[in-house]
Amino acid sequence: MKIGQLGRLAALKAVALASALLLAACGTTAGGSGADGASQSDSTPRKGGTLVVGLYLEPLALDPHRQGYWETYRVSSNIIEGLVKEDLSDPEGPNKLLPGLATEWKVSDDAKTWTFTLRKGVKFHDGSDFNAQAVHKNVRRVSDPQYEFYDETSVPKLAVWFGDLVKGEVVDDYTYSFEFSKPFLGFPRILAQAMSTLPIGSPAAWEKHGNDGFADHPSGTGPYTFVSRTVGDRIVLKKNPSYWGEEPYLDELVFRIIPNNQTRLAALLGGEVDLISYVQPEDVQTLESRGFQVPTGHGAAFLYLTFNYKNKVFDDEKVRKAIIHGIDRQKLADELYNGNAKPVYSLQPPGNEAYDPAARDFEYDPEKAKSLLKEAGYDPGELTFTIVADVANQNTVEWLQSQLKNVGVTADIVTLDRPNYVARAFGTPGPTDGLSIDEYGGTYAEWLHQVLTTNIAKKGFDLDGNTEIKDAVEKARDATDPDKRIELWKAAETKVRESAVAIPAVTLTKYYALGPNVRGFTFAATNWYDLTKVWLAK
Amino acid sequence: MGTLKHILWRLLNIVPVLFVVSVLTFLVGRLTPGDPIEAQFARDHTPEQIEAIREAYGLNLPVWEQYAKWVSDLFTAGGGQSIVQNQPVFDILGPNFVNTLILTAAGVVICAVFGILVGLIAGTNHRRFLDRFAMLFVQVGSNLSVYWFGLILIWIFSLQLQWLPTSGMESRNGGGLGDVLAHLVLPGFSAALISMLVLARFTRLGIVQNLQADYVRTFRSQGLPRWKLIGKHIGRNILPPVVNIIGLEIGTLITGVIFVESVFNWPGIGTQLVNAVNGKDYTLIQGGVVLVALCYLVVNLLTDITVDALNPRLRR
Amino acid sequence: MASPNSQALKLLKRTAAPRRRSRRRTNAQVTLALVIIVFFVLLGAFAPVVAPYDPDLADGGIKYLGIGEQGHLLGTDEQGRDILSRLIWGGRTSLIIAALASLTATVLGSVLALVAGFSNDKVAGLIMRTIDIMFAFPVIIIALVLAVIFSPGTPVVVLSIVFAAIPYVTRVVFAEVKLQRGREYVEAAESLGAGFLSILLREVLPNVIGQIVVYGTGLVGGMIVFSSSLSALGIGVQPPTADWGRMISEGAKVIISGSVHVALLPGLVVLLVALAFNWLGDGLRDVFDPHKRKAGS
Repeated sequence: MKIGQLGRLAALKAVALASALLLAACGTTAGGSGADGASQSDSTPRKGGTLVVGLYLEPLALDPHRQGYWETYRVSSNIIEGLVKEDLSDPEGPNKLLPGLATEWKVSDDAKTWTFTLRKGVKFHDGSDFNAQAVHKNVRRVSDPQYEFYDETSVPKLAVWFGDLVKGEVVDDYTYSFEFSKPFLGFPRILAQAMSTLPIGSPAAWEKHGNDGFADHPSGTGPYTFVSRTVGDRIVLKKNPSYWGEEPYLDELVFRIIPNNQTRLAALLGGEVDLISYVQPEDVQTLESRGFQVPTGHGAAFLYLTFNYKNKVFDDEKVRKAIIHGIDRQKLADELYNGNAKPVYSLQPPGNEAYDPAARDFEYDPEKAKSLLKEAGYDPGELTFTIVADVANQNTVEWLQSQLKNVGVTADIVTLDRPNYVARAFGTPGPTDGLSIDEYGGTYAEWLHQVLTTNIAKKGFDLDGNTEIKDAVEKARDATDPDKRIELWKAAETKVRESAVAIPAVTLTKYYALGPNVRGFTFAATNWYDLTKVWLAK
Repeated sequence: MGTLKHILWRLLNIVPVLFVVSVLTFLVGRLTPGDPIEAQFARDHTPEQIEAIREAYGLNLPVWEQYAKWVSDLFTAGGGQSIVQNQPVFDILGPNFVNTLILTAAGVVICAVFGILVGLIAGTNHRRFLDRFAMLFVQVGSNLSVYWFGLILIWIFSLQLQWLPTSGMESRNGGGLGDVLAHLVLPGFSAALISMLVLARFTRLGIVQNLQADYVRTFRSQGLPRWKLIGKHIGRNILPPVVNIIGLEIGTLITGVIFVESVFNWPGIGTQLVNAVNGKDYTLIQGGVVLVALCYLVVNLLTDITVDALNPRLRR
Repeated sequence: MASPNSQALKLLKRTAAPRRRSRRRTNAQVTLALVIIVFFVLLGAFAPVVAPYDPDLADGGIKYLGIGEQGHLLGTDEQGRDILSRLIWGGRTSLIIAALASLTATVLGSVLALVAGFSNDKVAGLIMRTIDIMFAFPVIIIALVLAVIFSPGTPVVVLSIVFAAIPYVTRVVFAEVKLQRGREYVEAAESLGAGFLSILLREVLPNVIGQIVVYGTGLVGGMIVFSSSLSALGIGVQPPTADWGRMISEGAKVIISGSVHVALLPGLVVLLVALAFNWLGDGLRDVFDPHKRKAGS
């Protein structure tokens, strides 16, 4: 009835507008958008077909060592693999480790040397062989200034984990070892991550096209090979016929870049794409009511606030504690995120190996906050600073502003686009900057070290001066007994927590949305997904 | 002055304008607070490393040297390396620019067809209901912001009626020309709305004026049918201003389809430029603006030449 | 550069002259336009009294209410704020910005045009070429760059609008001034030895001011629409201030999701007000334009 009615009206735009208003007013959202055609009974995976994915932003370079943005890795992980994988069929986490390009690995007694047995008979997409020599060139690319293809762009990104690498060594054609100056028990899980780590690209490709040129001719060992990329439009991959692992179901993957949230949603509703990321919570109901699948997960979406330690106000622990006391995280999760979030009270978020559900830092207590501020020498209204945030977090900072006002803290807000936010928060903050917001939490225990060195210390926290914290972290990093490792990281986290070094906030519920005929997709406890198990029902 | 000489003179005139545009674009980039290298690399590079990268991009040179280097890059190195995407600027913008031109062409065609049609209807029904209604139609159109109205169009025509694709340039399996045309309807119409009013007004005005002119009365008294009169005689008279407006529309569209591109996810230059500004990708912004400005100026010139050719009396 | 735009705009400007509508219709149009504009101005002025709710009062429990639901006449937005109240308050911001920006652009553009029209060819050429350059710059890029320099907010909106509108104003007024310059009264004043400024201010300005007012009025509508587009890029009025443009861009986030009215209502209000200013401009031109009618073309 609606279609006929609208069809007639659409001839006159003015009238169509009125009818749109009418439809909206009646709260009509349903519509035969092709959702009802799919039957759920077909459970045998079907081979073939093209999956079209709608990405919310343009991926950066498809280069194993220059990774940035999750959307980049969601594309490049199909092309380039690491030595170790995480089991991405587990929605809870921490994910099990699985063999990737290495079939097994072992660590020396002092926990400093890791030896990997490499998979035999694997070829890169460009035809060259995968072996210990190839791994070695990957290692040299990010660590050896003598290497012709030493990549200065990658080195700083990997420094957090590979800074302590003493040497990488080709033991034999299919055995490779890494030697670190300190014990590094968590290394295999680090190798299974997306960024700041070492997925294995084809050295022949960068030898041929150069370090910058690699991204235009990306070559790895993964289940899909690179076909083409049009910046601003799409990236096309096709099935790798000689993949070493289990054959993927889909013939072709197309990643379309659709930054406008509503347009991306429309493309899914209209059947033009099959999978979209960055689904807005408001859209979930619409999607589900029309037969679309909306997998939900907490992934690595950990939201936390860090102090700008270059602003001397925050040298005082009382001030930091007062601010944490002044923020009601349960309310943040319930009200601002409408329950699409859970409060978090420790820097090791849920899903992390060393997550402690019982950990609590400083509970919401506005009176306590006020008295702490008083002790620190601030009467109500005297403490003033600026919250700097990515525009995406606009609502969150506004909410924080009102919370802090309740405890007599005046916060100004500056929201910036992504690059400017990074430049200001991590590079040169303003003198009155106080808090900034970041989002991501690793699944590995060493995440604590990562967040301390690459985020909190970058913002001026004197890690060397806080010996208690430093010692605890060092002790955890130095662990040589695998059974003690997690305990030690938990202990380190306790130290960090007690000093109110940063403010854990919430983990956000994230959504993907899938077409009605997409099968086999799992929302793994991480920020990327495995498309090799995905297939399309008729 | 001969026609050819006139055209050459006009062509030469583009150079100083383009020069000023390039200097301004360049300066705007340099004077903007914030540092593109820091924005790009602050996260995981030390200040020393950032300094080294800055040097590698030549950002430590004196400003005039940077400008000279960039201008020479424009001619020899594809507009220089994009800071964010690390590719020559014109390699990135090239395919997008073609897409923008396609969208512009569609917008112009739709604008011309509807604008002239509405003008014709309004003009021939001067002061009657149809006149008012047709003009209200284009007035409404020109006052809609595409940012929401485009989405309403998608909502109605793609999702509720399912007549047209929602976004992008081609369907999942590609479908050749027909497919691209189907994808062009909504964005093209949205783009056309902007200038439809001006064109319709002109056409209407031209017709009204001419219908009252003496020569028309003469023809009429001789019993020439109205449609023939409009088609043949009046048409010839109002063609130059109409062509003029269409040329204007092309210019407006090239510099202004950013919203249309964003809403309909048209893979054009606008989206790239917005991304570039947000990512502080100076070289990409500079290359893009110069490209757009050049295009605008060339279209202007071509329009002038066409109008002159159509009606030599206008030129002086 | 004798650009096509100047010719086009000259022609455009004449549209109304021979329209010779019945005065009654013109009056009806102006009256309707004035009624609409005054209505929204009054609403904005008395917003604190008229608005049923606090425009910034958010309530997470009642997001995206439909029209008339739970005592919210026009529903609620993504933070559960009352749309009607925000429309009433938003008129303040939007109308002030659009009027202020149009005024600035009209004044600056007219000054440029007057100077150009009464200078020698070199200065005139320089000014008009500058206008060409402004035309050739993509306005959106200017707006985005301004937003980077000054950080997004009202000043950026005003500046962007001014930048976008100046070239149009200048061309229209320049054409008009040139027309005046050829007229006898100016030549007479010149021959009497009147100074440059005095001719400009005493003789020419009074004769073109009507045109300028008319054009500036028509501009306001378009600029409201334009400023709403800027909001969509995140460079408009900053939250939580209610503003029509911002309401549209925030509402546009849920059009496809099904809550069409959140963007549609402010969109229609902007459309109505913009149309009203267009009608007012057109109507004023017919009323205000005695010499033009005599001059014919």
